[in-house]
Amino acid sequence: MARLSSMFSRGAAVNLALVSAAFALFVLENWRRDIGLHDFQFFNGWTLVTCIVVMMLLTWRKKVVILPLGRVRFWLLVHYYVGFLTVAVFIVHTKYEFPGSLLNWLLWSLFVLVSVSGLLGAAISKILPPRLEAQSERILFDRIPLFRAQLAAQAEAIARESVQDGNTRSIARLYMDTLSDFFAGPRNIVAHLAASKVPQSRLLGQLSAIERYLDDAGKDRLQKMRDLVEAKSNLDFHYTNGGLLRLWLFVHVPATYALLVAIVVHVVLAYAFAAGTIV
Amino acid sequence: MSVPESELLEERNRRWDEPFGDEPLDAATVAYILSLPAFVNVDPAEFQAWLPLDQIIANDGRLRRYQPGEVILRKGDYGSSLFVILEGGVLTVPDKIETDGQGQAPKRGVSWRRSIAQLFASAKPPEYRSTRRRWRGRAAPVSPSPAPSGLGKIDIDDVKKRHQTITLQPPDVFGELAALTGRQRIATVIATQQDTLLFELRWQGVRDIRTCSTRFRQHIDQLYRERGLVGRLRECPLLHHLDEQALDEIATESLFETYGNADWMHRFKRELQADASRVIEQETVICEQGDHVDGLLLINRGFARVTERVDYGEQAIDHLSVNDVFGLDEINAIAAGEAGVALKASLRAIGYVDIIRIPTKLACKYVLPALSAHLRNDRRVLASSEPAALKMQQDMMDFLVDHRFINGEQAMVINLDRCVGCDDCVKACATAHDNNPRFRRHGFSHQNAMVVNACMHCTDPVCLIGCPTGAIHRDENSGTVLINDGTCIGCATCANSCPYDNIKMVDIRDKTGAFLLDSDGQTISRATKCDLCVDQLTGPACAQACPHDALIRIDIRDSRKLLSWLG
Repeated sequence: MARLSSMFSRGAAVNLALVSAAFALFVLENWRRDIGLHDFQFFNGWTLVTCIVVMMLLTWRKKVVILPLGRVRFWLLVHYYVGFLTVAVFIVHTKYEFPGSLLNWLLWSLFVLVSVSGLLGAAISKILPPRLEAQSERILFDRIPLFRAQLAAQAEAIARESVQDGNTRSIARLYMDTLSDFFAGPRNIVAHLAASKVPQSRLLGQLSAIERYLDDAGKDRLQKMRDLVEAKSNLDFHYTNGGLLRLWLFVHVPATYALLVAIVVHVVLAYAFAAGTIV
Repeated sequence: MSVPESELLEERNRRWDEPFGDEPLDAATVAYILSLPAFVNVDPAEFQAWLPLDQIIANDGRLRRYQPGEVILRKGDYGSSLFVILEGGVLTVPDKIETDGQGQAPKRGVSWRRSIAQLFASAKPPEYRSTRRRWRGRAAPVSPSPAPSGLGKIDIDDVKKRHQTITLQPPDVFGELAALTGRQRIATVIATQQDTLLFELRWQGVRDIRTCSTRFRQHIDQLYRERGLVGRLRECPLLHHLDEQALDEIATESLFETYGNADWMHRFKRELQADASRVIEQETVICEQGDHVDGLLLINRGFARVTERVDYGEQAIDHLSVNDVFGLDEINAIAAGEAGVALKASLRAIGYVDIIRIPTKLACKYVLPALSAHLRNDRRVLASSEPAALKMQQDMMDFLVDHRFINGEQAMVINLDRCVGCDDCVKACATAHDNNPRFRRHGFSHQNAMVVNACMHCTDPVCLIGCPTGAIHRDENSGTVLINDGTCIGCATCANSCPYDNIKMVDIRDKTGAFLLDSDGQTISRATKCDLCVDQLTGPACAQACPHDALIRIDIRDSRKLLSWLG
């Protein structure tokens, strides 16, 4: 609830009010052109292009970060709120209908993909950082593979040691059957996205099940293995959620550029087939 | 006139590659300077062969000429040099004075054109340094600049009417306090006579002469005690209401004390790696809970931790820095007639602390009468009426004090509740520094705060202390700690001294990406660190670039701002 209230602070309410006012002006002008027998589709189409260009300013601002053109935070807010406006203008531009041609379907799909990925990205940018912070100390994403390899090496060493050092086979067998695969790469992605600890509990349960067969030295090794399983699970959690924070951009950004190309084609065709229309 | 020949210079920087003036002072001027009372007793034999006295004077000194009304020093600026009056006279004013030019010298090299050129410049190898050329031939001696300070002019008569002033004449010395401590100037100094000529000695020269010469050290320390102490006392908000006579009396009766170890950072780093919670055990106890009250302790330099005994340990209840006092409550109780008053808490030196101990009787006489008014403005009293969310929790205070982050004036703090790990901050830093990021997005964290491994531009920057060439220094206007790449010899003294590991040594390269080698075939190192983007129009690019408001540059002691930002 606290997070919800911080997301919808007074500043956000003012910004949304401004966006609503801008949209109302747009609708009014659109209506005025409609009753004036002008082709209002060109008006709302160019309004849409303008909104998209304004949203693209965020990317350009990031590239010229050493110029005093306002903080990137400001431009991200502009991106968010103009994004809401853009969706509304887009709905008006489509006349509240699904497209009727292949190109328009492509254009429509790309716009929806960009909008939905943007909205999801904004949402996970708010939701995931506190979740990562609550889990444990933040881990640099790029270093996760290195840490994972270190954990795998330690787990294998424990398994080997348990065989070489005596008569116990339980740890090595469990390692061969289950744990080696667990340590080999990122696992339980879906569970970590849902913040579920069930897979980790299952593994720890399997480790606990063999405890009764072990001597004191074996129990010590088992405890170390438990610690490694927890550390690896923690690493997977950071990999999954941290990865999602990066992955959405790999959908949003390429789709945006594809949308821009489709828009150019759409504009050219619109003018090519608009001869005689009152613009 | 022949054109001076030049040589390619692919060698390590040396002590005096960049003299303080445009040119080193000539032999006659050096001889004259050394005959002045401040230097006449300095024995050249006390100096090492590689660091001769005359070379220090010639290279670390310069002559500057001022006209009446011109501001030489401004109160509040970070000082880095000492002055000796050679001709004319100056007026010292213990207040900050508005000048006609408002004195902020424009940032060198900062412009839209430069920034745009930087953005579109072709990519260079990491840690690339252009090949420098040093002029072998000497240009004609340059006369002292006629308007050197750029701090503006003021009406002397008006200043005399409105402020308390002290006149200094040749061969008086001033500016020694800031030159020794690297702290802000405590007075404004104005030239009063036509063509006032001053000899200015930069801080590394002052430090070297003071280190080598016992007589000079005694002379400067005496000046510091005679003049500096009164100036220091005047700076303390608790003593603002006192006149010169009262301040003189306190200065005469007070004791200067030093606690802790000036070399604290090396041991601190070891202790921190072992167990941060045990760092408190190495802090020197200045006075202990239950001791009798022996004066009011005014923190002159450094930091101290106030602790209370809890079971078998010590709980930090506050931390003190410059101008904070300890023992005021107890002295108040004594003045109220309470018997058997003892200290309610202990005071420990965090690293290295200078204390001025003001006798109890003088504290009762001068401080207590104005106490009620001051208490109303005391931040610790105010803190009790702040909302609970803005009060520092014990664990957060322990985290900041144990790691000594309270030293940071521009610490980089990341709010982990907001950081998405996009690294836009690191990319922006790289953009601002020719593709060489000057920090790692990594550091000690507690709750949702991460104090990043980036230079914090400390109140007491210990990295400056041992630098042989003075390459690492404070910017006079802002106090930002900067490294002069042209005089850094790559000795790593600063990097080893930094208690926070925020200075990184790098091997420099030429335009092909190959490492530059000296005449022995060794790579050439330079110290690098965050410079707060002083040469950019935007200020720190990292804070500019963060899209989620997850990064801030902040004075850690501003706990109210820090806590409200962390949420």
